[in-house]
Amino acid sequence: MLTYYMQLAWLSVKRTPIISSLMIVTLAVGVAVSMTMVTLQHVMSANGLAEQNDRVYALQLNNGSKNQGDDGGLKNGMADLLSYRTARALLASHAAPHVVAMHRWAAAVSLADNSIKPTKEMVRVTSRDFFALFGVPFIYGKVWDKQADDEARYQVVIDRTMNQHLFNGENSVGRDVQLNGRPYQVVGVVEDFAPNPSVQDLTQGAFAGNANIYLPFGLHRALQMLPNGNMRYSSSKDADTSASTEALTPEQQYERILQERFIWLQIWVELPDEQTKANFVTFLKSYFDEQYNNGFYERDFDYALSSPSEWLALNDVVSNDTRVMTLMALTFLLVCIINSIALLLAKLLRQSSEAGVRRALGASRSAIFSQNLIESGLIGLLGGVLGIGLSQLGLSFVRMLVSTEEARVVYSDGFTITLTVLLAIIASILAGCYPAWRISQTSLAQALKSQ
Amino acid sequence: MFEFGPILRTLWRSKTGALLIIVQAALTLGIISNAAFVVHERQAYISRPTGLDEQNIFVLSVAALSDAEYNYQDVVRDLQQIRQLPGVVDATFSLTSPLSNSGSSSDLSNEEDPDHPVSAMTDIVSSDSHALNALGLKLVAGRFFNDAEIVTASPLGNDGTIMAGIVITRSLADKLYGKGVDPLGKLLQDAPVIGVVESAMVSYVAPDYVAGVAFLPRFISTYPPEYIIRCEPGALSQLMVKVPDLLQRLDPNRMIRNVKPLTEVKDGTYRRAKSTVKMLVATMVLVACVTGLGIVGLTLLWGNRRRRQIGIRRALGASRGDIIRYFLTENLLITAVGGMVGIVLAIAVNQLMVQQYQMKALPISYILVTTVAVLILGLAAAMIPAWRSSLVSPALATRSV
Repeated sequence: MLTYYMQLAWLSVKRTPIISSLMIVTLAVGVAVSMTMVTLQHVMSANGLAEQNDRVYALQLNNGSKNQGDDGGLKNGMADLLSYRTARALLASHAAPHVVAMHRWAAAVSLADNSIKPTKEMVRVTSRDFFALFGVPFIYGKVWDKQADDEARYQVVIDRTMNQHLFNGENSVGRDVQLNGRPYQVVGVVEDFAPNPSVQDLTQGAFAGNANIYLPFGLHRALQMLPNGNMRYSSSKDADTSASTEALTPEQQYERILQERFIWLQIWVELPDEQTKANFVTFLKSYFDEQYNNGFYERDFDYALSSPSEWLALNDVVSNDTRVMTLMALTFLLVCIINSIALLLAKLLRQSSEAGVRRALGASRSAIFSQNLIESGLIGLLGGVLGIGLSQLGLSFVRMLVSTEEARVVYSDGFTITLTVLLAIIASILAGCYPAWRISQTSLAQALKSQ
Repeated sequence: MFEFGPILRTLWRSKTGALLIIVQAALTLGIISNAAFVVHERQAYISRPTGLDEQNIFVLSVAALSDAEYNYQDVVRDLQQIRQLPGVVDATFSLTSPLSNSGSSSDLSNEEDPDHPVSAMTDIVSSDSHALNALGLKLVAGRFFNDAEIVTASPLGNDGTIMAGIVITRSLADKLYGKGVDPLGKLLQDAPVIGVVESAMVSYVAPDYVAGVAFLPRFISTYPPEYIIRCEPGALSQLMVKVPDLLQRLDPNRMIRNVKPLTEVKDGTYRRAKSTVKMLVATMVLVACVTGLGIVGLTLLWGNRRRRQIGIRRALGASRGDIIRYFLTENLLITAVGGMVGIVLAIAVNQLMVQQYQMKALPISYILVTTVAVLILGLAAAMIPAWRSSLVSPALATRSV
């Protein structure tokens, strides 16, 4: 029976090639456009740290100046960055099991034997808890010692990709890498950690926070490190006047950056349960109050602890433009479905005389219904398959438009492919059901009379 | 002359098809008007004039291989050599590439009334005397600084030396001192304003971020310098090869990176807005095609179904024009109703976008223009099938199927 209906459907499709291909292409384009946008939004809203969602939190403090607006802050009115002094206080405390203070830096990477061409690479300067907090496993060696977070130790951790590039993937622990011409000893090699979007650091764009090289947090004074990224002075005291009365040595100038409210660091903390979280907030409040009283902070105590998913939302990683376009693309799919329904209806109604004959010869309404549903289902299926193909075309179009970092991740995955298939099936059923039902309702007498 | 009555009665009898077209036309109108508005807004944002000679400028950055600070004398040597090259109009240095939306900015206050300072977020461009010519900007009052006035500083801005002078754009002067007020000689950051430049965007393109630009005679030694090279028309592409070669020859122990025409830097800065425009235009074209082709197909099918009816009308004396007019009137009626529903829908969707996604309110002109466009689209789409139907011969009426 089914094969017979398939045959009938195929004949019917062949009889009206233009209208049939129009319906197929319409459905395909609708599925492709909406899937392209849904994939883009899906990629943008991916959370690479979803597993740590109820454990790790990005910290913000109300550390703006009292007469400044909210400029530079996130949607909740607080800056996304903190000062070195605050970072030091948190690292020294035992308020949370793991505290990560970090920033982005850049360095020329080379080897002493000149076996590779020097390149400029992103470097993450971080406290040693980074690997434990974000769950980055070590392949070789281990993290630097606690002292390396407090004083200058020229040590480095590299990831699998960098280890492959520099040392052909061998166990490189103990060997030297040159950063800006200075040798650093490799103490560990970790797995690649590159979530997209780079939720751990969104300050330079949603896909620009990943690095292949990690340096300890104790090097700041020795190198007078400044971040490769934002640094803001967020105090109401004039940044320049205090210095212009007398000339400062470079060391004194750098010390000012570390001690005054220059904000340039990101801080993440691990708080595995409610109790630790409550304790941490208590610590935060007493620290803030103490610093408020000695004039370091100027605003009232306020803080935010955001889980990775909250952090992505707070940083507007999925832009409103993307949301609006996804909305439009889904509406477009609706237009395509309606268009197919109208065409299919008109086409099937034209064949209602055939249905009349079949009914007169004893076919039941449900038989007519299923015959026509198979015909519309066939069209939907062809449209869906073509749509999946076209959506790959749409995605390559999108990849040409977005930044290179983003283009690397704008691909459909299992989830979006499944969704495309589902959408195609739903679209074809929606497009096919009503016309098939309508035609099965044709009254016998009328259908025969019109002959 | 228009057979509204018979058309409406016919439509009523097969109302599902007509209803579907109405909904489709309404949704099409909603999508196109809103998309067109967003496209127009983004286009206006992208095409704001910068004031720079964008087509003839390229940039590159110089990065050392060691921790050492950057030496001003090296930069002077590099730039002098670059200016000697045939085809180079001028060359200068800065902290970041123009139009990259990154740079150094600071809240500057005028020092007119210490109790009520007027302040403005300012794009701080540290450069040398060639900056104006290398960017293609014009001085409108006073003078630009000379190379003898340049100080070397750390990014915190101060080693105790006070700058000899500061040059600001007209837009910054307007914000700090009032529209059209002459700022020459007034103090800004303890330095006198010595010149005024026509309004322009230099480092930042974000519209609400900075009020204007201040040029400082300063070299910052702790960050890799960015060279800005302005070429004679047509010389850009060959100089983009020659200049890095020259720099590499002058000092091989460094990296010459990110050699890019300024137009490419600008494209990168506007990438999001540009990709939004392209994706929305693609959506608009596709939705118009789908709706147009849908109407073609449907009118074709309706025409086929009415072959006998058309034959009878032709036999009773209706001209081919009458038949075509019948189809077009029918189409116009349907799309007009769809248009009206669409207007309501477009406004409702826009309201939702205003509330949820911080979009701007859709001007009524967009809706009206799009409505007319959808009506024309519908008529154009119905034309060919209507003409085909009018070819039905009157003799058909006399035959049965």
